[in-house]
Amino acid sequence: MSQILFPDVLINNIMENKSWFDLHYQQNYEAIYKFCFRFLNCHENALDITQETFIKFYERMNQSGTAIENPKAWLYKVSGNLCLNAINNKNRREIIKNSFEARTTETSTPESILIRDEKNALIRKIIGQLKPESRLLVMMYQDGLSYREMAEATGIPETSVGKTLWRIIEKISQTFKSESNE
Amino acid sequence: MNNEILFLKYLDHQLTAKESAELEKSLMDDPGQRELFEVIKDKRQITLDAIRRLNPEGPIAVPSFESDNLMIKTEKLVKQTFRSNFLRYAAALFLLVAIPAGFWLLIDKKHHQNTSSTLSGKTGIQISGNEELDYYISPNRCWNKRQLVWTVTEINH
Repeated sequence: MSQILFPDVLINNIMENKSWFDLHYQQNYEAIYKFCFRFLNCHENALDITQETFIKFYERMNQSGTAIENPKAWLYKVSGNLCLNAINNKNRREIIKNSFEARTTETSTPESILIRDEKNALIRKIIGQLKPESRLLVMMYQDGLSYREMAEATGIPETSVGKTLWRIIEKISQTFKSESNE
Repeated sequence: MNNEILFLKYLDHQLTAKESAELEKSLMDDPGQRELFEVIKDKRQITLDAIRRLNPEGPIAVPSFESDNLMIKTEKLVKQTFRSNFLRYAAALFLLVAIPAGFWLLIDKKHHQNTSSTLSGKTGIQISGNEELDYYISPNRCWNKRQLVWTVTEINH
């Protein structure tokens, strides 16, 4: 009787792509997790979304047809979209809110930590006022992505990336300066 | 504002070598531009520091993707393949049973019709194609078709 060969074929395909996948997984996992965490301020959701992103990446990689041209930009794009979905999702929004409240209450006793939390809240407030694309952009900026990669991941034209970033930089730095002067 | 964006691009290493060289030259020549450049550099640093504050604390361990997701995925693929193979075998088995059964039914029906017409020719009883022969006879007296002919003949006589 003929053996079931399909799984072997599929597993061979998986193994062929495995080393390529592993490379990107090891290189980008931390950055993607941090990016999600900065965006959501929730460990559980950031972990979930990072995992979901890499599963999607893995599935896409095993699909025949178009290859991923820029894996880093692709990962940021997918995780960014998942973060936006998470914010719009009612259940996850509740978890994010609770986790944020838990963090602020548990660390509110020492003065230095309180100041830090206040500053964090201020940054979140400023970033929260931005458009979703700009919000994603500023979160990516810290990870040192090129303007092209940021444009690809957010959908903002490459020529506008510098301008948008400059506006955000001015806003954040001004708010911080005025806060420190007070 | 254009200069500011240009300086920002320079700080982010987004300019070509030629553009960078030109900018560096203009900064050397113009103290006002240099001052502006320093301001932008500071603002950029403040922003980066501010965003860095939002990072999680402590080191991040990269979990093994293979042990969790890859194995789940492989198991899923094996299950899917098994399921599709099972369906394939079931369909083949169905065809193996259904085709002979269909033929057998068809042949039996034709044979049935032939018997009816022979019987009606011999006895003169008009039996339509749809009519059951069992209507005329008792099942106990007629348990095969040869006897059926005699039985019906006897009834007529």
